[in-house]
Amino acid sequence: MTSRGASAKPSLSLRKMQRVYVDTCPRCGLCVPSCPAYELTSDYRLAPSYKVKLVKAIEAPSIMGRLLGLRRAVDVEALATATYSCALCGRCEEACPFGIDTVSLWLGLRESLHSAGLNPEPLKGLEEQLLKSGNPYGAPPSMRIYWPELFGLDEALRRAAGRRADTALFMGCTPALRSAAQEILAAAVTILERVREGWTTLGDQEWCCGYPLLLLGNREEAERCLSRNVELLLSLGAKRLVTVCPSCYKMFKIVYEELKGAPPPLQVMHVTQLLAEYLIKLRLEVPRKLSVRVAYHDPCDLARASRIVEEPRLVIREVAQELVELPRSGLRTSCCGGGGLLQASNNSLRLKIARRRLEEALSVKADVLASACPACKSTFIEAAREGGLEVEVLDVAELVARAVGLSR
Amino acid sequence: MEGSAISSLYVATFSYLPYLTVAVTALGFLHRFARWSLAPSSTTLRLRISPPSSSSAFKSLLNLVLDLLLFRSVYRESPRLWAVSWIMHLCAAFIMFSGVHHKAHLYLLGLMDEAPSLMHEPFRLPIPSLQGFFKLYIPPLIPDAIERPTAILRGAVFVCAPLILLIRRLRDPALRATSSLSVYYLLLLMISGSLMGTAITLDALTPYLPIQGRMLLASMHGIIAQLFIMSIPFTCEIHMLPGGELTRIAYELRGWARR
Repeated sequence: MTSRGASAKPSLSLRKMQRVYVDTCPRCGLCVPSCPAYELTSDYRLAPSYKVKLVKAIEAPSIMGRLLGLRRAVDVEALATATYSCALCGRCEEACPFGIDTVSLWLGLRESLHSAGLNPEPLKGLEEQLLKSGNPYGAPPSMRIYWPELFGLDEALRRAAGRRADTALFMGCTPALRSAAQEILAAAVTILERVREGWTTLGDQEWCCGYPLLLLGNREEAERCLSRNVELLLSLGAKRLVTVCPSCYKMFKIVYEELKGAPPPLQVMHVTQLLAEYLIKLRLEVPRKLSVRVAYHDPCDLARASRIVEEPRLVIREVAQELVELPRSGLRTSCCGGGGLLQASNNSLRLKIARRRLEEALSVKADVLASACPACKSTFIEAAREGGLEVEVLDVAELVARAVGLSR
Repeated sequence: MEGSAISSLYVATFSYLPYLTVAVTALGFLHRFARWSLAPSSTTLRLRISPPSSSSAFKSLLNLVLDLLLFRSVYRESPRLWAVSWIMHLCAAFIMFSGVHHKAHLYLLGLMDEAPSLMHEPFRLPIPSLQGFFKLYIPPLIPDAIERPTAILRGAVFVCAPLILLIRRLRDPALRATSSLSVYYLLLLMISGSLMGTAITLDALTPYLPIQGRMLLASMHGIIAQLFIMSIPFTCEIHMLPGGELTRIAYELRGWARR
């Protein structure tokens, strides 16, 4: 692929449906105001329909332009920047009146750019780390089981790791390796122990679920990670898999089926679904509700992609005094900025998006901004620290652990 | 322009150009479908769970039809844009499938014996007995009795709506940047074509043009309309084929097949 070359025609090798999407997009512009990257930068080059325009210029230069001799140089670099400055939140897909599956289109673009070696340098480094160490942070596998020591849960994890059980907890890279998110995992494990759930985990044998590799555009490696994890989980006799990260959930629940053409061989649950089940079946009792006003931020991967919006709310209503809705919530939720590997490709944009969401939480006078995603939590905490905003950010699992007296 | 030249233009526009229009449009669609079908067919990953399948095929179909007819998704995002675009499409439907256009379509399809004033050479349907049948079952969207008095209003709306869309596109920097030349070309065709159509309707109500002027105006209107039709497969007007809706049907079917 060549940048800025009208004579050398770059190839994006779009797939059938992606070509249909690019051709049938009438550039109505309804996706533009919904895009957080555009909303916060006013840079039209990041807008979804501008990306479609660039793709179309590369894929099929307009007949009229050719007739009038108006062929312009195709700016592939601009396309790469726009493609990787996208949080893949899917808000544009929700806004598109023509039902264009924009997220699959952006993912297809990432695959094309990746195979042409046009992905940004920081992401190349990230991919190298992922392939070498099995996680995006380049941590050795033993670090994945270091976090329990910080919370006095090492004995529980030692008992659970590698044993045969019906319920498996998929820790995920961010919850296991990032300090801001480790408390989520600790809360989940404490609750599992409290309800005496027979659970297991892959421990240091666990690899990345493959989602970051998919976002990098490396579908083959993503599929390899996913298949390996599923095989190991099945070998432990797991019948249901619980994830604390919505992206891991999406990978096992949705992407597995897309890649393999068959539903996953085990039931996949997000931790909020499990918590809702425990509360409904009274396996977990809440002695007293927390006297806090909680604003719930729907993570994109959980709400829009996986359509899990009721369970987290049910859980929060059970454990907290008051639940308030943020201006954009549910399926039309606003992005936290932490998706699409923005941290590696455009961190300032990531923090800007998160800051806006934090301000929305402050505007509804929330004591706590709750989410159900480790990436959202890490991003919010970082943005609050940078912007000097006073909001407590917690995961739904942490709220439950507090309410049932398992943590402070 | 001389009278004979205008007459020749008029005859060419309404007797010969339609064949070229049909040929170019058909070839354009063939080219478009070939382009789509020749693309690699490996799996396109869909990164979201399919919406819960409706309880019945009927309900899914009904939702789909309502989305297509009422532009519900446009309304959700921008009620103002919805008002303009929905009214514009509604007007377009009423204009295209009533009055003289309705008669012209039937005539061009060989379904009418009597030629509307614009038409010359009829196209003969291979099976004449079908003519009466089709005439009966393809009624105009608006009865002739109210078609004429409302024609000016519909024409005016159809001039204003694309004009508003053009202004919206020019005023918003992001929209301006994402618009291609073909988008402006289509909007200008719509505005000029509907202006001429409205002028012809006005003239039919209270004649103010000489016969040659009326023929020239009608010819220009016919050329613009046919240029628009020819552009459909080559421009973003292809959005008439609802790719997203077809995908929705495909995912619904896949969901049922997997259950």
